[in-house]
Amino acid sequence: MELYAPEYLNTLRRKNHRLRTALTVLSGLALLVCIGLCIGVNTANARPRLLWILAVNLVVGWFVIYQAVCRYRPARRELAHGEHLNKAERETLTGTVEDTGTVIRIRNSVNARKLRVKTGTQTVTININNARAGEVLGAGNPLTLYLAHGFVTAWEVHHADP
Amino acid sequence: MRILKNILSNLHRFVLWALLSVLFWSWIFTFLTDTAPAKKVTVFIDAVRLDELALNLRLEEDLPDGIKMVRVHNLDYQMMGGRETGDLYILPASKLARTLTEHPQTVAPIELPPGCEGYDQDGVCCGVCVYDAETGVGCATDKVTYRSGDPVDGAGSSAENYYLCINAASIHYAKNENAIDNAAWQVAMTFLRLVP
Repeated sequence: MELYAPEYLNTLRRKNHRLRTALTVLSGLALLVCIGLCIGVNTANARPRLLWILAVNLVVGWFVIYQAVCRYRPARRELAHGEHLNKAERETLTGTVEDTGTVIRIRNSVNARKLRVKTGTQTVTININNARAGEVLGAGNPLTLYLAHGFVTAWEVHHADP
Repeated sequence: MRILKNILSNLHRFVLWALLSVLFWSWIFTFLTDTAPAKKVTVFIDAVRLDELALNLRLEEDLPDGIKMVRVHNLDYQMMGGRETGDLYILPASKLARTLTEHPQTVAPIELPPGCEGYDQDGVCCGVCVYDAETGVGCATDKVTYRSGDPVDGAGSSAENYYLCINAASIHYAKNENAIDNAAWQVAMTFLRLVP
């Protein structure tokens, strides 16, 4: 199981590009509407027009801020993180999952799950940088993990022969 | 729940955007709808309630030559802004008396129009009565509530006569040294004709 397979990163890249384009177009349209409302402004219509502009600004501005901060930026960081890990040299670790732990914040917008793996006599704690993976990797599974910069990037679960 | 959490954690960004947006667009609108002091007559009225927009529009129906707009503001606006000085002031008698005592050089002497009551200070007319408290008759009473904005009980001070006076430093009053026209007086005459 590859966490940052090229297909996954490409999908993320496409989604980011679409979101960025949509936000840019929306911001541009809002700006055009505001500029349009400024044309022909006079004493009589200044107040209602200013209120309209502020309403458009607040609604569109808040939507764009929300999408940029809560959706676009985390996705962009995840993409950068995945590309960074894919370029790094991998280490291999074989053992058994003891505990999938809880989700923690490694740095802004990059979450990870603390994974405790028993390798022979040692128990090591490593980060698995996709929260969904922790649910897939159940406790007690014997497996081989591929690590980069202390993060799990891929793993193989060893099933016992029937 | 997650969306709400995201919104709350970014509340400072939303508030900052709202503040910047209001400031920026208000500045743009002021820039678009304002003009140079030489082409504008500014009127400050010390009233507890004032329909600025309606009064602006009414006074702009008879604009003097060379003037693009008339701006009517509540006197509190000047106290807050401070930068804009008025050409005309409409003040209650008590405030006008205080102004004449403390800053006598700020009020220009005026020639009383026929049929009008004036405010005399040492034999010099300094203001034209625009509202008579006894009869309740005044100019533009449908747009101006002639009560001072310095209330003691929150409802405005007791009724008193209101007077229109001219700023001695106004560039729109012909009797001033630095005057470029007599637009302030013409706007004052227009105001005096505003009987509802």
